[in-house]
Amino acid sequence: MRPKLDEKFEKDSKIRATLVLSEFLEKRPIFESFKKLCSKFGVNFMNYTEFEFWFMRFSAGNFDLDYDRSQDPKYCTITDLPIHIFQKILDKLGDDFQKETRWKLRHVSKSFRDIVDAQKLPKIEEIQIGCDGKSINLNFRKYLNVWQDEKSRTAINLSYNSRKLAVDDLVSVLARPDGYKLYKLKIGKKIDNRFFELLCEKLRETSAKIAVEDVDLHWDNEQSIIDFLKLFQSIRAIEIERDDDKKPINQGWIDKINKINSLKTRSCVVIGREFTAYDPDFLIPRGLNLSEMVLYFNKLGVRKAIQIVQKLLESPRLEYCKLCTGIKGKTTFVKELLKLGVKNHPNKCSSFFKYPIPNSDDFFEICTYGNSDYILDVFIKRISTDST
Amino acid sequence: MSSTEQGTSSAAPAEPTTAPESAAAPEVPESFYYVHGKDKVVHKVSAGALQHSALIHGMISNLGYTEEQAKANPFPFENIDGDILQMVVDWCNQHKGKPTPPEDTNLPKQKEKLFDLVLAVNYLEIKELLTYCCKQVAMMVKGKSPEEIREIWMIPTDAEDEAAEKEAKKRAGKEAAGETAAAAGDAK
Repeated sequence: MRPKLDEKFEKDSKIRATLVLSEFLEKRPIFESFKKLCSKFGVNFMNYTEFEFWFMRFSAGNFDLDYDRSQDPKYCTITDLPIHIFQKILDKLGDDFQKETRWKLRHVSKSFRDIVDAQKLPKIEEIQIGCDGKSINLNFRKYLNVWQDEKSRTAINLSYNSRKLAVDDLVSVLARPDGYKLYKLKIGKKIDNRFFELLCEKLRETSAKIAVEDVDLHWDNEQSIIDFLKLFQSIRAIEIERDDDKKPINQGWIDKINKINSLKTRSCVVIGREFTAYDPDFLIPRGLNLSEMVLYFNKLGVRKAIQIVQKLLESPRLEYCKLCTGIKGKTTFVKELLKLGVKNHPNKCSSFFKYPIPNSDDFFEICTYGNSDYILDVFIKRISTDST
Repeated sequence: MSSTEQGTSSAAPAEPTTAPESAAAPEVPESFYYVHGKDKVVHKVSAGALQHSALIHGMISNLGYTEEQAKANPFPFENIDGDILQMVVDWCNQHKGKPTPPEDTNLPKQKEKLFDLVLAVNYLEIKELLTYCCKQVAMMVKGKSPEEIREIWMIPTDAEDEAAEKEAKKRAGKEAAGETAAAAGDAK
C-alpha cells in the first residue's frame, strides 16, 4: 500500500498541495506543520522548500491548487554564494556564531563543516567532557581574565545524542595545524568508553599535537581515558577527584596513570579532596612514578600521617610533595617523624627537618606549618647537594 | 529590446521644504543613466541613485556619457534577473542622497529572491545593501536547529551531496566513454 501512495505523492503535486492546505488550515507554525506531515507520510514525501512554497501561498490568500511549479523561475541557493559573501553572513551573526550557530552549522552538512572550520575559533581554555547515560555533554570555556574583559568570556554548552558528532566537534577544537594548548581539561565520572575510543581514533588520524596544563579526573575513569591522555604531548598536572562512592583505588589504576608518558617530566598529581584516614587500599604515594604530588586529606591521625610521610620519603622519583590536611598532635607527630630517621634541620627553625636519601647525596627537606596543636601542611622537597 | 522606463516615479525627489542654503544655490540638472537586466527592461536611474553602486559609478566616471549617449547605451546586466534589478534600482532610488539607516526591513522575505539579490548586489558592489542582505540571510537561521537551517537555506544533506556527486561522476564517465567511441569511429 505504502509504495503506491509514495508514487502518487511523487507524481501528483496537487495531492501534495492539498495535504499542505489541510495542515495550513490547522493554523500551526510552519515548522510544526511540516514535521506533523512528515510524521504522517514519512520524511521523503515532500521537501521543505516545496512545503514552504505552498504554505506561503496559502498564507498570502492564494489557494490555487492547480498551479504548476515547473513554471517557477529558477533561483539560486546559499550554496551558490561566493565564499567571501558567506563569510560576511557569518560575521553578521556576531557573538551568536561562535556560541551557537558555529556548532549547528557543523551538523548541517560536510561542506558546511569545512567552511565553518576555516573560521577562526576563539581561544578555548577549558574543556569539560561529561556523560549522563543519555547524552554526551561538551562545555567549552574561556575564563581567564574574565574580570577585566566581560566580552572575552566564552561558555559554550553542547549536548549530543550522537557520539560521532560530539567527537567531530571536539576534534575540530583540538586538532589545529599549529597545535593546541589547553589550560584545563575536566573529565566527569561515568564516562562513555566508546566515545573516548572514537575520539582517540580520530585524534590519531589527525596527528593532533595537544598539550594541557591541568587535567581533572575521577577515580572511576577507565582505560579509554588513559589512552586519551596518552595522546597529549604534555600534561602539567592531574587532579584526581574522589567522591562518595568509596570505590577502592587499586594498583592497576595507578599503573595506568604511570604509563601516561606526557606526565613524566616535572608533572604534578593532585590527589583527591575527600580522603580520610579510613580509606583502604591507599597506594598512591608509593606507587606513582611522579615527581610532584599534592595530597589532600580531611583529617589524619598521627599514625596514618606518619605512614603516608614514610611512603613519600621512599618514593624514588619524588621531587616535591605537599600534604594538605589537619594532623592533631603536633608534638607526637614530630616525635614519630624523628623515629623515621628524620633529623632537625641544623640551619633552620624547628619546623624544618632533613631526611638523607639512602644511596644518594641528596636529601629531603621537610617543613611543617600549623599552630600549637595542629599541623596543617607538610612540604617535602628534594634538595640536591650540588645546589646547596 | 523593450524600452519601458521605470524606477523614476517612486524616486521622485521630495519638494525642498526649509533649506535656505540649497534654495539659494543654483539648480544643477540631474543626469540619468539606463540599465537593463536579463529581461531587457530598461530602467532609468539618476546618477545620484547609482552612486550606491561602486561598479556603475566607476563605469559612469570612465565613460563620460552625455544624456543621449547614456540613453542609447543602457548598461547591460545580463546576469541579473529583471525583477531583482528592479529591486536594486528601487533601493538605490529610495536611498538616494540619504544616509543609510542601520536596519532595512524592506528587503524581500522570500529567501529564493534574497539569495539572487545578494549575488546581484555583490556584483554591482552596493556595499550598504549587501550588508543588509547578509544580515537578513544570517537572521534567517539565528536560533534554529541544524535541520531547520538545512531546510531554510536549502542545503543538501551529505547523502544527497554524495548521490549528486556519484551521479555526476557516472554521467562524466558515460560522456567520456561516448567521446572515446566516437573518436574510435572517426579513426576508422
